Amino acid sequence: MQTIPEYLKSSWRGWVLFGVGFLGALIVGWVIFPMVLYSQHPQPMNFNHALHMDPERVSGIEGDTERERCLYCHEFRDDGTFAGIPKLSKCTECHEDPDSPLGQTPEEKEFLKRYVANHQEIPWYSYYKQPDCVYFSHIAHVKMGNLECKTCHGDHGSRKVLPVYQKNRITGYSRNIWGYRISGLKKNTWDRMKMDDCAECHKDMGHENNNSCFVCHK
Amino acid sequence: MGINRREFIKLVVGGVAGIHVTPLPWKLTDDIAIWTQNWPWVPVPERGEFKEAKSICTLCEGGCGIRLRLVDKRGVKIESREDFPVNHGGICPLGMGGLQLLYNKDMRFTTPMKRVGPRGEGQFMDISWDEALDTLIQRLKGLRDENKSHLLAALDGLPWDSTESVLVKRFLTAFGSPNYVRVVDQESVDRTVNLIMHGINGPMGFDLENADYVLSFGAGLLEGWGGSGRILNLWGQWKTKKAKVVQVESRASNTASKADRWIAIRPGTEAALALGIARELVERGRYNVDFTNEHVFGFGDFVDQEGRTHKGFRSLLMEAYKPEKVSQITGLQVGDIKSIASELEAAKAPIIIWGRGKGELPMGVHETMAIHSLNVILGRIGRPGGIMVKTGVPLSDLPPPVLDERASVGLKNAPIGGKGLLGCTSLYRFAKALLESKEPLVDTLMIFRSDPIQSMPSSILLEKALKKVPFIVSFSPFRDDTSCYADLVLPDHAYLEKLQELPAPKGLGYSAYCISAPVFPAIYKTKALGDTLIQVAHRLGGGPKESFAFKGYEDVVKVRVKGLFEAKGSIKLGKEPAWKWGINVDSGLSGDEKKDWEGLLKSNIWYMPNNTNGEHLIFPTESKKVELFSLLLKRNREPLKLKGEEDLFPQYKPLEDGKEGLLLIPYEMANWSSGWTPNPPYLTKTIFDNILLKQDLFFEINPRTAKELGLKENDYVEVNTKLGQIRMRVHLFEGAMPGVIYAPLGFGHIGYDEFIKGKGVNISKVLWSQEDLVSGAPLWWGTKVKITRV
Ligand code: SF4
Repeated sequence: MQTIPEYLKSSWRGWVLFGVGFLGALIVGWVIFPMVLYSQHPQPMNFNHALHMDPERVSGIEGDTERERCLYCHEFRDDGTFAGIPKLSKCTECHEDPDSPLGQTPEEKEFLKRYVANHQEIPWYSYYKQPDCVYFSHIAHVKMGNLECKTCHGDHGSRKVLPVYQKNRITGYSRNIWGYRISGLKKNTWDRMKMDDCAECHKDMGHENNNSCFVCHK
Repeated sequence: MGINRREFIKLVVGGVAGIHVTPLPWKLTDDIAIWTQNWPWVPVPERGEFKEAKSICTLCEGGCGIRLRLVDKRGVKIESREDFPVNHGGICPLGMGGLQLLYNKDMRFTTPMKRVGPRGEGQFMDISWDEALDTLIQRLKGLRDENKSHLLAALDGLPWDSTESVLVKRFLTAFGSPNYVRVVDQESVDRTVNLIMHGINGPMGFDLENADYVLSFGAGLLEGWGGSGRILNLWGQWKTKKAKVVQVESRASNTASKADRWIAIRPGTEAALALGIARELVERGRYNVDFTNEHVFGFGDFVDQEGRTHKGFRSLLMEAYKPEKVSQITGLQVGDIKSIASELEAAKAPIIIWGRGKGELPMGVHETMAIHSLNVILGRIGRPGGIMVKTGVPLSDLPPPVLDERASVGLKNAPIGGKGLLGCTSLYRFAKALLESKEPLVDTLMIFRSDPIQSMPSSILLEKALKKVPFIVSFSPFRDDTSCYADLVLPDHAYLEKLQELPAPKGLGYSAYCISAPVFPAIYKTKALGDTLIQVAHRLGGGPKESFAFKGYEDVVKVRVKGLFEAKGSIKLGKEPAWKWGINVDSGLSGDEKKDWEGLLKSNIWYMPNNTNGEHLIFPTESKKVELFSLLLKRNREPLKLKGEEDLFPQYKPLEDGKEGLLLIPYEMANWSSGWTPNPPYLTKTIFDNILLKQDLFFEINPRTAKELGLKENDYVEVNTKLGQIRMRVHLFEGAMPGVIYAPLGFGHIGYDEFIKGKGVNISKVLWSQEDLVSGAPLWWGTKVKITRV
């Protein structure tokens, strides 16, 4: 019987160890790294977008199209600026009386008790906040560019449960900006919100001029 | 089974290789890059809700409407307002950078302060409001107790007719001092001319929006004249409607370079040219005969009530301003004079305007009258596109101040430096009187929004005069140069922090009054000037207290604006531009005082478009006409020390300091403030290296003149005037007239912050000047200099 020579044996062990190191690194990079990089922050309370967007179940949120219904709460101010996450005053246009809930959910009761009764703003985490050095105009995209909210925000408007907010421990920004795939690859337009994604869309839509630095970094 | 060294290395190499096919290194690099953007010392706007506010800019008297972007209560950006009638979306660099003046601690007096270092060094110590007020009140009470109230003086640089200015004057009167002093700038000169020629004590307006031919005698239209916000916007309109702009100026300024025609005239001889053109028009019979016959006094020869014959303006023109002579004085060709006359003749709505640069430096009264006489003989007064003489604002008067016995005694004293036609003393005369007197004439000088040490020609004289004033109080929010001489500072709020007002934006062709509520609360421990005055008056007791029976500054403003609500006019921002004649504006007034006040604060403006009913052709002079022969000057001939009868007419007077050498003419820039308002650091960035390099200031000189003197670009030189010596550097510029050097104003500050202090030299300080007999202004364009290379 042929025995494996010593020098080959050692090389074989070496390759195994190389493989172990390689595999270990893959696990660290693909699995452990994202777990460590992001901290988890549940939103202060749940908000059921699906429910509010359904005209059969919730009346008062007006709009013929989905976009109009989004804009009912995430509205443009009179001066054209975008209000972003609605303030409590928007909620209390309907949920005005803390003692009479409009639905049956325990979340609504909690909401009325904690926030409406105390006139306290809900400290929401914003999934889509961009760095300060970025200028973004909603009105230019939604009204002039006629984009659907989905194009950037995906199915956010049809969720029943708000996802846990994940904050990048290094940058402090939301995970939605880089996207949920740690590889950074995307399938849908709404998977990522990095500068390249803005630029790609501008290019596809024939607005390559808008990729000049000063358009967004004023 | 142990791992040997080689195997360990393989494990690590495997790990390193593996990590590169994961996103970790790439993602980490990206994250770290973003992390660096958020280091705590990287400036970012505060977090908070984005808001927008509308207001007005009062950094100059242009009266521009502005929009502010706020994050919660902090202003982060200033933009112009399209909906505002004055500027229609125009704005100047200073206005855009204004926020830098507010949040910069080194620029501001952040709390009341008292001087600790020598005067002029700008070293101060923080004190409380109580201590500051006590110090001032004790001093003022002392003066009144000794019946020496006339030893108080006030230097007022606040906008004419503003409530704050009215309160300063009122305070002085109720206190018992006749020493109300103002810096004479072009605005004051224009008001004086308005009074002399039209009998109106108020601002003059230029209906530039409706003009189709603008003949500008030195007005720095693109340097800040008449408020850059309005003019920049207008410049575009002129181009669109093909209006023509002719600039008469010795230097190729921005205005001269961009005008349709540039007439390079010898500095200071503009009046001669104007009269030469007037003569040409009269000789050709192409002046407005009807207007001159009906509305002008002193054009032709006339016989007075005592039966004496007087020569009229026409004879004066014919004798003294023949084209050849004018050509000799101005250095222009006879053909130039004739061609401008022809252009004026052909224009439908010509307007003749004047002012050297921005209008912060005064012209002479007689030369202003001379240039304006072109408007008069062409009948361009009170006509669309012409000169408007009744653009004052109908604010209600306050009840007269209560004069107690002490005040009456004090007011019997003659004002130091004499009272001018407009009821105030020229600072230049005041300073000269202080210098000449052996007795101490003033004990306490209060200074309001004025920085004459920086901006008054020959301010070196003022510097000396201030040494004779034992106690100086500044109310400035900014550490301006003059405030560096103050012993006590009671800082006012800066603009946007207080109720701001501007009656009659400078040069506007129709009546307007701009106002804005505070946009955000005061950033530092400052107090609105109006409230400080009311508080001091209350604590003085007696007449001052009774004269200031107001709850606060805002209440006084509310009383005054009632006059606007009663007059016709509008507080509504209409679709039609306010400069259109004869439009029927919706007044937007409800008759309810509270509602109208709120409406006024919302639109930030009350205005009254011109109409065609001919009201503006009634002139309250003695002759009830526009006077080319001034009966007012005739009456005041003695106190004003006017000589012959020609001094009652518009005329050209040469100005020279009697020395040999090159002429020194200062110039101004739209992107650099040279008055009381400080410069935001942003603007320092806009100054070219051949104007200011590090601490060195450059003057412009024509390459030909430089060659004669053996000077090269960038040379260091000493510039000597009659009043002193400054060190500058040389910049060769083809646009400079041979024989003249041009130096920028607004540099060499001793106050403010590191971005401004000590940069360059202060030209005003060493400009030689001569007193204008009528206005008391320092006339400054005759300064000769000797240049030596160092
Ligand atoms: S022109 Fe005067 S009022 Fe207008 S923005 Fe500039 S500084 Fe302000």
